[in-house]
This record gives sequence, structure tokens and C-alpha cells, in this order.
Amino acid sequence: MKFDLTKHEIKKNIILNATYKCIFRQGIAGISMRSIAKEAKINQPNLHYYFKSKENLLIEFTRAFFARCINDITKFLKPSDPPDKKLNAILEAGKDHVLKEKERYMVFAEIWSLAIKKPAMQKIFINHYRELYKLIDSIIEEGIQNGVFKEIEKNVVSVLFITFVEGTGLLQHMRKKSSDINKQFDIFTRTLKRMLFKGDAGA
Amino acid sequence: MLMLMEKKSRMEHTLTKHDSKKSEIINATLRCLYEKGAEEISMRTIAKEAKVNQSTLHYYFQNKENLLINFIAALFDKFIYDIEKQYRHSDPPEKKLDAIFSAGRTFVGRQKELFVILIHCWALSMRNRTMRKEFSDRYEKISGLIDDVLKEGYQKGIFNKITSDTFSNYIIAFVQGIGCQWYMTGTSFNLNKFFDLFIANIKPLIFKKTP
Repeated sequence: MKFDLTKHEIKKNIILNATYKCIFRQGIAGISMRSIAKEAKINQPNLHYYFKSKENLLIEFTRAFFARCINDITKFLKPSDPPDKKLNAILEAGKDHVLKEKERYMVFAEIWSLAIKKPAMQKIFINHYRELYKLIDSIIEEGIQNGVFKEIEKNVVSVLFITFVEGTGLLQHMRKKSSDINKQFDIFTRTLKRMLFKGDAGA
Repeated sequence: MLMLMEKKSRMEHTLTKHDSKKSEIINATLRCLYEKGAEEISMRTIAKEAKVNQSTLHYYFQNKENLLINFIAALFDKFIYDIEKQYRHSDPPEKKLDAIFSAGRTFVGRQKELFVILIHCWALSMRNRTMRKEFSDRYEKISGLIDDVLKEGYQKGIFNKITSDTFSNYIIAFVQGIGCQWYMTGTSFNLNKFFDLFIANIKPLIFKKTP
């Protein structure tokens, strides 16, 4: 699906991309409206026209950052696939994320560290988690309805999935000695299957 | 009051004046980081919090980087101490494993300040080679500690032959991942339930027979 972006939206996107680059390179502590304007190649009054303050910009940025995460997951999913295949697709999306998105884990830690002190930003985190819960739960629910998955409490798989992907990604990108991500996903997949599948499928 | 270093050492010898001043500064750094976050911390604010003047602060720690490296070391020393105080060297590996899980649970559930600070330090260290090395080395220590327990369990015939390195990372990733989500969502889910679930599901992979 493609949207026709208005000129206003295109400009905003350019600024948000510039913000991403600035946070990645300098960290939240190092960025300013001035450095972002410079990166986006616009003047400062112009930047203020699109985002009235740094705080406002960072909130919009966080929203866009997470929208992309959801988008990255949904592109792995085909609505017509059976739920067990969708579950595998979600795991693949997670692995892809951990392996390829070092920059994003850096930016994630930065905005986490800022949001824990700023309720307006924290709210965006919460909404993002809720959206992810909804997405993953809908797959689990479908599997339960079809009799493929065991009855399992709501949110359990989604909380565990996010925990695993965020935790593994953070660890992976901080340690010098990189660990075997495939093996870690293998353990996680096995434990999920133990929880979800009837019989010995996960053993 | 939030503290990382105790005034008296755990080995029960008295700290020298130099060491105890250093500890005070490390504790002040902890409070500053927690209150102000990673982006606003400076040598000036730390000096103020520690009630020393800036030149004294610079006498103990030549610069902010050096201070933060010492701080990260102290933070991880505390994590390791918190794990190790729960068991004796002679304890069986399954007891040690339980102690590791329980330390993780306590760290996330009861030490919000330390958890938040860990992520602040993470963000601060990412772009700084020396700090990052410190961070990485300390991670290695914790995963090494878990590694040793898993290997001991295998040698004693209690645990399966598993890639202990992968499992230790898996455990650390769970602890920090669940904390990130739990605090950010305003502790919206039952943390203990998820720890129980995690432990119940990983144990059958580690143990030869379900204990």
C-alpha cells in the first residue's frame, strides 16, 4: 500500500530520518535542534515550524521508530498462512531484527533511557507494546481456535517474545564476543513450542 | 539512601580514607544517574551530589569517562556479589542455578534504580570504546559465572551436555529484556509469573531428568 504523502509529511519524514542519524551518532545527550536542522539541511526556524520543540520532535520520532518496528514484523506475515507458520514468521522477523539492526538497538537504549523519565514518551512505548501484544495474540488466538495451539493465557507469548528479542539484541550489540544468535533462537523456539503445541511437538 | 558501595568493606577490614572517598563519589554518581538520567550527568553535578569540590573530584577520577568506567565496574561487581552471596562454593550446581535465577528475579523486581541505571550506562557506553570494553568485559564475567555452574552440573551428571555459553546468554537476555518491558509498561504484568514460566521451561532443557 502506498500513500501519497503531502509535501508537509515528506519534510517531516526527512527530519525524522535526520533525527535517527543524529541520535545514532551522538546519542540523545549530544543532539540539539541545531544539529538536527543541519543534518536535515533546513534552517532552524523551518525545523521549529514542523516540530515546535525538541521534546515534541523526540515524541514524534519515538512514534515513527516503533511504527517501523511493527511494519518490519508485519511484512514477514501473510494473512492467509496458518497460525503455526505465522508464529515461525514472527520468530524469523525477530532474528532478522537482532542480527541486522545494531543501530536500532543503540537508538532503542537511548530512547528507553530518556522515556523512563518522561511520561509522554513512556506512553508511546506502552502503546507500542500494546500493539505488539495485539498482533502476536491474534496469531495465538487463531491457533487456539484452529486447535493447533494449547489454551494459553493472553499476552504470555507476546511478553516473552518481546523480552527475548530486546534482551538478546541488547546483549548481542554490547558484547565484544558475539554469541550464536541462531542457537539462542533455537532455545527460545523450543520453549515456545513446549508451551504451545499439544503432545511432544516441542520436546 | 541509594548506595552501591558500602562504607565498610564486606571483607571486614576498614577501607582507607582514599577508598572510602572514592566509594562516596561512586554512590553520588549512582544517585545523579538515577535522578538526572544519562543525558544530564556531568562532573559538576556529581561533585555537588558528593559534596566535594570539582578539583577534589578530579583528584580521585581524572575525568568523566574514568569515573563512569569505575562506576560500571562497581555496578557489575554488585550484581556478581548478589549472585554469589546466595550460595557456597561447595553447594550442588542445581542450587547454584536456582540462586542465579533468584538473583535475576530480585534484581529486576526489587532494584528498579539499579536496573534503570544499567540501561542508562548501556546508552552512555555504546559510543565510547573504553566504557564499552568495560561493559563487555563485565558481561563476560557474569556469563562466565553462569557458564561454570552449567559446566559443573554437566560434569556431575545432573545437567545435559548443552552449549553453556548460549544458555548463559539466554538467561542474561531474559533478565534484562523482561526488566526493560516491565518498567517501561509501568510494571503492568505479573513479573513473578513470567520468571516462573521462564524457569519452568528452561529447566527441562538443562536438567537430565525433570527435578
